[in-house]
Amino acid sequence: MPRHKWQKVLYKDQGVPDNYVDETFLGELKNKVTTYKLPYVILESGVVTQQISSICLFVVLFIYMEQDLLSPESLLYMNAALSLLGYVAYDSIDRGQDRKESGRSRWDDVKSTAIFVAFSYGLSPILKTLTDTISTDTIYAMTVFMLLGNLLFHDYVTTETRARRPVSLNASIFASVCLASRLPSTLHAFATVTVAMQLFALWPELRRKLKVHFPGTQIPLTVSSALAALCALISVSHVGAIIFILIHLAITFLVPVCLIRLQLFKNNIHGPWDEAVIQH
Amino acid sequence: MMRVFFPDYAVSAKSGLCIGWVDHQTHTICVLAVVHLPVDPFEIRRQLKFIAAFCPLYLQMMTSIRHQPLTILGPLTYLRDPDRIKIQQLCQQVSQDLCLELTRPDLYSLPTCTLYKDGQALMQDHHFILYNQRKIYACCLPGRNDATDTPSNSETTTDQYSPTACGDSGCGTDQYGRTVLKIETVLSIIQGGVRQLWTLTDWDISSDVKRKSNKSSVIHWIVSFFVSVLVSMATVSLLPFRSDFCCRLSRSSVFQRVLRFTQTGCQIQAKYNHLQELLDAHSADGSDIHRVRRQGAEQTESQTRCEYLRTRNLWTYLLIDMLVGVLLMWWIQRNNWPDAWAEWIISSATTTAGSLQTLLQWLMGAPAGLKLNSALAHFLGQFFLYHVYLWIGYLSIIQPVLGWAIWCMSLTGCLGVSVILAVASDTVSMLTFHVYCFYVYAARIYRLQLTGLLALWRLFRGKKWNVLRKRIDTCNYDVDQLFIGTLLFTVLLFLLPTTMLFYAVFTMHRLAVIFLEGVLTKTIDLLKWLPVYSILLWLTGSDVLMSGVYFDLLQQPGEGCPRALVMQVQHMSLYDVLLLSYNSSKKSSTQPELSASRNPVISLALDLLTGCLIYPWSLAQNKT
Repeated sequence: MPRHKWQKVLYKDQGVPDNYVDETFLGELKNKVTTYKLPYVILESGVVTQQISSICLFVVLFIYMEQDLLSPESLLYMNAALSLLGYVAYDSIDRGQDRKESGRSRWDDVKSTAIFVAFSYGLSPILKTLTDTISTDTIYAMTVFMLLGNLLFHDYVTTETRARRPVSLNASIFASVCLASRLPSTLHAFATVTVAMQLFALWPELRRKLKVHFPGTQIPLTVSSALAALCALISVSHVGAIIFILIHLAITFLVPVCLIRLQLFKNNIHGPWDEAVIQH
Repeated sequence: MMRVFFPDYAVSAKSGLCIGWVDHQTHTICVLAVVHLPVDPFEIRRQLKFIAAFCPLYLQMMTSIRHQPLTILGPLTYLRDPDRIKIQQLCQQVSQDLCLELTRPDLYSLPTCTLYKDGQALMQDHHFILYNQRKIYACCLPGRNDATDTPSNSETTTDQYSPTACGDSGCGTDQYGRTVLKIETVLSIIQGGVRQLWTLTDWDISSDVKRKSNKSSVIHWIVSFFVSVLVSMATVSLLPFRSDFCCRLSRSSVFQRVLRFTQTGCQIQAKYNHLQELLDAHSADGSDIHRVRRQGAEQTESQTRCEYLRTRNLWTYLLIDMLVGVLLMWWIQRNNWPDAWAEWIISSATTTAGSLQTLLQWLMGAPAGLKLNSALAHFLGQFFLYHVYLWIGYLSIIQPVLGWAIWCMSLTGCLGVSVILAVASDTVSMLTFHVYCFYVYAARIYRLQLTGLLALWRLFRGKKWNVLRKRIDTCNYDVDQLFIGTLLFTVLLFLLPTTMLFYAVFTMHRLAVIFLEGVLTKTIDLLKWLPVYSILLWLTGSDVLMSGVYFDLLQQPGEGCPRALVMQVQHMSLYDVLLLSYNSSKKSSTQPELSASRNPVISLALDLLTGCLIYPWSLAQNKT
C-alpha cells in the first residue's frame, strides 16, 4: 500500500516499477461517448428530406418544360422573383452580420449575378447542341447518377458559409447541362441551368442560415418542402409520388429508429489514452 | 606453376639463344624469338637494354603491371647438336640469371624445359604453351574497355581442359594469392615484343613475323590503293571548304540550325566531318595521330588497332556510298526517271488530296456510328477542307518544275547514296507538309482541351494545383467560379470525342509519314554503321578479328615432360564483329550521349496520348 496517492505523472519517483498500472487507471474508461435521442435524429433527418425534395422539384420542373406545360419565360420570371425574395430574406435573417464578416459588398453580389446570367445565357446555344447526338437514355442515366452524387456529397452538417464542399453543386450543374439539350429551345436550356443554380446553390444556403438562426423553422420548412415536392410529383406520376412518400417515411422514421436500436450494440472504448481530437 | 609461352615455329628451329620476357611474380615466361649461332650475346644484351631505355614506356604500358624489358632467357638446343656445348657456354657467359633451358630429343619434337632461378635449377612444375606468333601478332584485341561485351571469351577453353588448369595458365587466378595475369596482357606483350625485336636486324633471328609482313593480304592492298586515290580526291574537294569564309559561316549558329533542320544538311555535314577526320588520320601516321589526339590518355595496342579498323571501315563506307550513289544517279538519268516520277508524285498527291477530302466529309457526318458533336465536327471539317484546297493549289504550282527538281536532286548522287536518301526523306516531308499541318492543328486543339479538362476536373472536385508546392491542394471556390468552371468542364467533356477523333485520324497520317522517313533515315544509318571492311576480314577468316584464345591439350603430363598446350586464336562471331565496330564508331562520334532513361515506346505512347507534338528527330533521339 503506497503511502501517497498514485498520480499519473512521469516526473515523480513514486516508488513503483515502470510498467505499474494503478487501479484508478480504468476508472476513466468510457464507452458510448455520443448517444442520440430519437426526436433529435428525426428532426435532423429533415435536411435530407429537404434536399431530396429539391431534387424532385428540379426533375418535375424539367418534365413540365419538356411536356410544354410550363413556358421557360414564366419559369424565369418566377425564378427572378423568388431569388429576390430569398436574397432579402438571406440578409435580413441575421441583419447583415454574415455579410460584414465575409466582407462581401452588394456590388460583388451584382457582379456574381451578372457573370452567372451572362455565361449561362451566352453558353446556352452551345449547351443546347452539346449533347444533341447522344441518345436520350444515356443522358437520363448520366443525370440520375449526377443527381445521386449531389444527394450523396451534399454538405448536411456544416453551418459555416465559407467551407463548403463543391462536388455536389458541380454534379447538379452537370446534370442540368445534360438535361438542357433535351429541351426544344435555347431559352429552355437557360431556364434549366438557372433553376438548377437556384435549387442547388442558393436554396441550401438560405436553409442553412435559417437552421442556424431560427431552429424552430425546421419542421415547417421540411414539411412544406416535402409537400410541395409531393404535389408536383402527383401531377406527373402517381407511382413516383407513392415511392416518394415511402422514401420520406423511411428516412424520417424508419432509419432513425434503426439507428437508435443499433446504438445498443455500439461498444467503442474511449479513455485518456485516446489521441487528441480537435474540436470545431 | 610456371607458364612458358613458346612460339610453335621455334620447335623446329635451329639451336640458339631464346629471347623473351620473364616475370617471376606472375609466373610467366614468354619466349619470343631464337637467335642463331653466329652471335655476340653481349651485343644483343646491350641492344635489348638500349631498346628498353629508348622506349621504356612501351612495355610498361602494354603490361600495365610493371616494366620488364626483354632479356636473353636461355639456350634452346637438341641432344645431338654439335653446337650444344658452345651455346650453353655462351649463355653462361652472358648472364648469371638464366631462367630456362630448353632441350629437345631431336630437331622436330617438343623441348623439355628446365627452369632456373638465381642459377639454381627449380624443381617446379610448369605448363608448356605453344602459340602461333603470326596469328597472335595479327589479331586485334578487344581492348579492356571493349571487353565488357566479350569478357568471358578470353577464358574460353575446350572441354578437354579442366577449369582449374585454365585458371592457372589462362587468365590468371589469385586463389593462391598470386598476381593476376590477364591473357590480354600476354598477348600484348607478344605483340609489343615482336615489334621491338625488329630492331635487331644484324642477327640471324628466327622470328615468325617479319616486318610489314602483316600487310600482305589482298584486301588490304586493294583498300590501300583506293585509300590513296580517295585521299587525293578528298583533299582537292575539301579545298574550297577550308577558306576563311566557310569557316566563319560554319561557326554561326543560324547556319548550324539550318543544316540540322534538314536531313540533307545533316548528311552533308556528317560526310564533311568524316572526310576531315580521315584526312587528319591519314596525314599523320596512323597510331601517332591518335596518341597526339588523346593527350596523356593511355593508348593501348588494342585501342590503336580498333582505331585502325574504324578508319578502314569509314573509308570503305565512303567509297561504297559514293560508288552506289553514282550508279544510282546514272541509272536514274539514263532511264529518264525524273519525268516519270514527277508525274507519279503529282498524281498520287492529287489522289491523296482527294481521299483526304472524302475522309473529312466522312468525319463531318457520323463516322463509324460515333456520336460526335455535329456542329464542332462540321466546323473542324470545313477548316481542314480549306487546307486541302490550298494544298491542291500548291500542287498545281509546283507541277511544271517538279521533274526538273527531281533531276537536280538525282545529281546529289555524286555525294553518295546516303545524300540521295536524305534528299528523298526531305522531299517526303515537304510533300506531306499538309499532313503535318493537320496534325499540328489537331494536336494543339486536343492538348488545349485535355489540359483544360484536367484543371477543371480538379475544380470539379474542389481542388487546385498548388504551383509553389507542386501538389494538389483543397481550395474554397466561390459559387460563380464553380458554376463557370463546371459549365466549361461539361462543354469540354462533351466536345472531347470529336476533337479526339480528328486528332487520332491525323496522328495516324503523321505516323505513317514518320515511319516512311524513319525507314529512309535508318537505311542511311545502317549504311554508316555497317563495317564493310570488318565484314570482309571476317569473311576471309582473317586473324585480325580475334575474340580470345582457347587452349588445346597437346600432351598429358608424364615422366619428365610437362603438360603441353596449344594456344589457339578464337575467331570472332559476326555479331561480335558488328558490335566491336559499332562500339568503336559510337565512341568516336561527336554526337552527345543521350540518356535513354525512359522507355522510348512508353514515352512515345504518352506523347501521343497527351497530344505532345512528335517529330522524327525526337523519335530518333529516343531510339539511340
